[in-house]
Amino acid sequence: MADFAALREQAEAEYQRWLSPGRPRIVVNLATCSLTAGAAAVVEAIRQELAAQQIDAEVQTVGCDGPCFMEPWVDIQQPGGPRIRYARLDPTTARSLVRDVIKGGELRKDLAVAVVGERPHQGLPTLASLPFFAVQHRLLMRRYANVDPENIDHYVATGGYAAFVKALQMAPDRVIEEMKKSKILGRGGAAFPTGRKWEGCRAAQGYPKYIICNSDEGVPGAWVDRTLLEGDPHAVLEGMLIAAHAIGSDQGYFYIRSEYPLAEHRFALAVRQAEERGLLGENILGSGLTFRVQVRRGAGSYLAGESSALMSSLEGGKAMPRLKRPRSVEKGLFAKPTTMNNVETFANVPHIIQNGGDWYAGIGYRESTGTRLFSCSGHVRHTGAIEVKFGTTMAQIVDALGGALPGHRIKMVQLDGPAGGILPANLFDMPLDWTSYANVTAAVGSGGIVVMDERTCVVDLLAYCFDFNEDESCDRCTTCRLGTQKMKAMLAQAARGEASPGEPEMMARLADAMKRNSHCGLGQAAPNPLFSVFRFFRDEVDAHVFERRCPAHVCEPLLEYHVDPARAALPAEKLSQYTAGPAGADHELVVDVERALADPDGVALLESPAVHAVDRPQPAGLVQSRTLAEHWLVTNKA
Amino acid sequence: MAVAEEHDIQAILQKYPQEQTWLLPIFHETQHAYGSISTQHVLDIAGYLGMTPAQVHEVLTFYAEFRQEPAPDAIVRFCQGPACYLRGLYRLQQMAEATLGVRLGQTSPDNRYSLEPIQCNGTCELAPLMFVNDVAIGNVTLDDVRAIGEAVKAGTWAERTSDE
Repeated sequence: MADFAALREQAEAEYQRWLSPGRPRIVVNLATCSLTAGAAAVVEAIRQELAAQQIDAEVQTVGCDGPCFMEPWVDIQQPGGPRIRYARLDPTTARSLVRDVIKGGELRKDLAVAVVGERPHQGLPTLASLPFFAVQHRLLMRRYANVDPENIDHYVATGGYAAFVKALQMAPDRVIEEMKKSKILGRGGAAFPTGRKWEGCRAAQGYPKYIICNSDEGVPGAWVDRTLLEGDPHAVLEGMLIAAHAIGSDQGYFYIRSEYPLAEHRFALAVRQAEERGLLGENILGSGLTFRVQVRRGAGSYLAGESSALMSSLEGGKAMPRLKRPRSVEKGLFAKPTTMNNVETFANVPHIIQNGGDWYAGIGYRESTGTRLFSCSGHVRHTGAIEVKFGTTMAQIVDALGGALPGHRIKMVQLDGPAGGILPANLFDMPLDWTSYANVTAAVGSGGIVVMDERTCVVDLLAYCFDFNEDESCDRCTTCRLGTQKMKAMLAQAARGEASPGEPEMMARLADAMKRNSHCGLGQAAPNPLFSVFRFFRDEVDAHVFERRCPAHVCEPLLEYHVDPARAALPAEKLSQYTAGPAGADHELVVDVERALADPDGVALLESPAVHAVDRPQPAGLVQSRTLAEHWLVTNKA
Repeated sequence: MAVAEEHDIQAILQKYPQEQTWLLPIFHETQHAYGSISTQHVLDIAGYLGMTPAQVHEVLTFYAEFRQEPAPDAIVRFCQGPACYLRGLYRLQQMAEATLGVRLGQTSPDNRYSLEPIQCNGTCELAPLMFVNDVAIGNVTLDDVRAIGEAVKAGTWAERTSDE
């Protein structure tokens, strides 16, 4: 299309100028994570130093390419030279870089970590060769630190909207055919075949038809959609446009959680820029397709991420899930045919249309096609956002993240937040794929990986998970509303050493009831961590129940804290406020935890190296069994 | 905080069609202008959208973000996400409680500050995370929590952020 060709030519010229501005380039990443890590102060210091040194350089903003452990980072490129990444900066070191690198022409290898380019430079490796990046297959993430996410020209110059233009010249059924050939499954957690969803919506009767992008990303531990929207927002919009053409929709909604203001801003800006360029609105590029997108903000409800609940929220109601029949592709938003897809799913669409569904299906492992974005955090050396092919193993991912923290040993990972299953370390060699992970109740989920080491108690973790699900439950279904409460109460008892021997079986039965009788994914998935823990860490649960012991030394009612007065950084008089008598034969004292928690010095004492935890001595004798009636009476009081 | 006149809610409402689908955007704009959504606001909104006050109130109270009472000067929040949980959340909260003299979920008697939980907002790479109003502080230590808590209690928090 002639309009688009002209648009592209102009975009390419602008992008080339940005890549080679004829003066030093200082590429900075201003995203939510880097800003929280102090990037604003670093960039301000750089600007001030440039002015002070009277240097003519161009400070350019990009999105984050994933390695959070490098934050705040800045890339510096002299005209004609390589682009060098400098990591873990602060205002002082940033200023020194302006003086030494830009003005002085030095390399500053003490702060440089890699070359952002094809070839190593003076002993510096390429960024792509670092373990964190080497494990990855970056399809969706390739633009992140290479374009300004607030500039549509950069998106167009790097191939953006070409797939949309191609799709416009294909019959809608052909577009859907390619989506089906790709075998892509939804990336939001439910993993429904996207091609089949679009086909169902296209065939449905009704007008208008709606496209909704689910950007609620409420699953704790997952922030891949945020990074995608802050780094390459147009990719998501292009996916929505292609869907609109395939399904026959002229109205789209973008529902984003309110906790993502920068992502919302960048996407809304992308929408405005697309409108200005004629890529959105009426009769786009003369194709006859009319499509508009409304941006809507959520308000702090995890359940709003559930597709039917999101539709309820968009209609101005509570975010409560609906009956699954009729299907939303037939009667969804405002009772009209609706296609809802996740942010990451939409970002894959241009690649599928541009290169073909068969090409996409060739990436990955067996029936799990394509790549998966992950956000990695927890007890691991390097946190960050990554993209890997299906078939990669958890062991490879954890290695790329630098492995365990010094002195610790990784025990398990939890995917998909507090309703996610747990994968124990001895299964880390399983290639990542939807089916085999689901078979061990550790469904791949929506992109969060939380790594946990031996300091994590599975009983405490379960209590934490059920607390979250209880909080977020809409409270409609008895099994979910009361099930989450009861689980929490039973786990709290186990953490106090007051569980009865029959309790694990009761928990398993309750978990089963929750899974089978809850109406939506929240209640159905809430027992998943318990299924995993009972399967892989039952001995740890039994230690709490039968021995009244917490192997990980986390459950405080089962612990006694001993302090060495010689090492405590408190005068003896102050220390005596927090202690309650001697602790056995040596000179240590027992800490009175209740009194310690009453003031800041006491809390600090509990975490000081002078204090260590031991198993609290338990009364000898059998753990009491209870009748079912006694059991329910006791747990009702908890 | 909120200084707009009561009748200005009509100025907000007039911007939207009289359809229930606009309820959340109206709530957002009202809270942004006034700091909270009062009973009078609920009545005005109900009248405008053709809903009953009970229906409006039901939706209002479902979402964690909307407040019905004016916010204190400083809201101290701790992220409850899994990475924050693993990186010492409980002990940090205990330090905050001991420093501020309020339990999690409570507001100080003079309504100057409160201590609240907040669900994961997706900045897990900087766990553990705490917030004072809109300012996020990542990688917080026990000492950080104590210092920030003392500043909030003394009312010197605003001066502190301008230094950082």
